[in-house]
Parts: sequence; C-alpha cells; structure tokens
Amino acid sequence: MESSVKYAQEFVQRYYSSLDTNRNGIAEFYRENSLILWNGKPMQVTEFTSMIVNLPYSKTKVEDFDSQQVMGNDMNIIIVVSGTIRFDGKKPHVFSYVSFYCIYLLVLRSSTNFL
Amino acid sequence: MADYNALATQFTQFYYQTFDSDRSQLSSLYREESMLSFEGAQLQGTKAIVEKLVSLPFQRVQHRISTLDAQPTGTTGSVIVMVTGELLLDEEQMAQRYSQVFHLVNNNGNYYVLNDLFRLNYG
Repeated sequence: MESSVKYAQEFVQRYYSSLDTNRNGIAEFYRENSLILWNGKPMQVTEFTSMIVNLPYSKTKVEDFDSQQVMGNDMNIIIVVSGTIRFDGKKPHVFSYVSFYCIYLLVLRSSTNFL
Repeated sequence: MADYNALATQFTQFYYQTFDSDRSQLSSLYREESMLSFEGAQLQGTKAIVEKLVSLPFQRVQHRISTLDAQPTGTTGSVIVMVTGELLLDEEQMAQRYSQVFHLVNNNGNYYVLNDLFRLNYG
C-alpha cells in the first residue's frame, strides 16, 4: 500500500499542474481506450482534451487524495482526489470556485477517469 | 456483458439498505483482499472493515444518493462506481455530504467490494 501512495502523489501533482499550466499536456495522461465521465456525461478523449484546453485560466488546489492498489494487479491504482478550482473570468474580479471530486483508475500506461 | 449501470445502481442501493438497517451484515459484501479508505484510515479484510463500520459513533443512519456514475474497468465483469450523496445520522437535522467510490468485482456471479473509498465533503 505504501508504493501506491507515492505513485498517486506523483500523478496528482503532475496532472493538476498540467491542468493549470500545460493544458495541451493533459492528453498524455489518457489512451484511446480511456473512459471519461464529466459530470455524468461520457466523453471521448479528444472531445475532453479540447474542452479542457478551452476552459478559462484555472488555479487548482488539491485538498486531499486517497489511493488504493487494486489487488491482483500491482500496476492498477485507484485515486480519489478532492479540491477546488478557481477560474478567472474575463473581468479580473469575477471568480468561480468549483469543488471537484475526481476518481482516477490508473492502469499501467492508461487511465480511466471520472470527473 | 451485463449492463454495468444497472448493476452499479442495484448494488449501491443494496449496500446502503444493508448499511442503514444493520451494518454488521456488510461482511458478505467484502473479502480478505478488500480495502477501505475511510477519512484517512486504511483497512484491509472483511473483519477489519466491518469492525470499523460497526464501531462508527452513531446508531441510526440514512444514506441518500444524489449522483451515481459507473464505468467498466476493462477487467472482465468489474465495475467502478462513484456515488455522491448525503448522510443523516441519529437525531441530526443537518445532513452531511459524502462521496464514495466502489470498485466491484465479479466472483462467480456474485459481486463484492474490492476497493472502497469514502470521504465526507466539506465546504
């Protein structure tokens, strides 16, 4: 269980840093067979990544995450992340705070993602 | 493969019905390899998990599901479920919001919880 925390920590840092500062890099976390549900809506990876790229400037704060290894396959890890996203609107004083709860199932070299 | 959304919904409803009426009966839904993450604690195995749930400091509880998302995980018959909802405990009037993730695995036609991650949601 110890090793899954390190993988999870690294993943969470890389993913949300990419979300805030390198939107085009988000696609690298997924593969063609990745499954994405965004607020209940199923999305293809390409649709998802272009939606992400078009979001307003964001600043993410990860509050916490839980991770578990999926027994029987050492390379699979489930991660549940919670935190907040701040979007800057066009007017500098307009902010939206969104609490997000995401779960990721990391399979070696691909990921299944709920948002 | 059977409809994973229907399975996820049925299993989740059954899980919470059992939890809310008598949570000591949850043992049939876990195995030795099952893991529970609960508010920072990590536990493994039916005995440890059920002991934890039974020892939670409330008598009565009611789960109310707000959202439920499910996906197949690519391993035959396995399904991952993400639930958000509210908990009403004992005499409290204010419900607490929570999120829970279940990774359900098929064992000879019976599903059990392999991974369980629970968090209360604040703010």
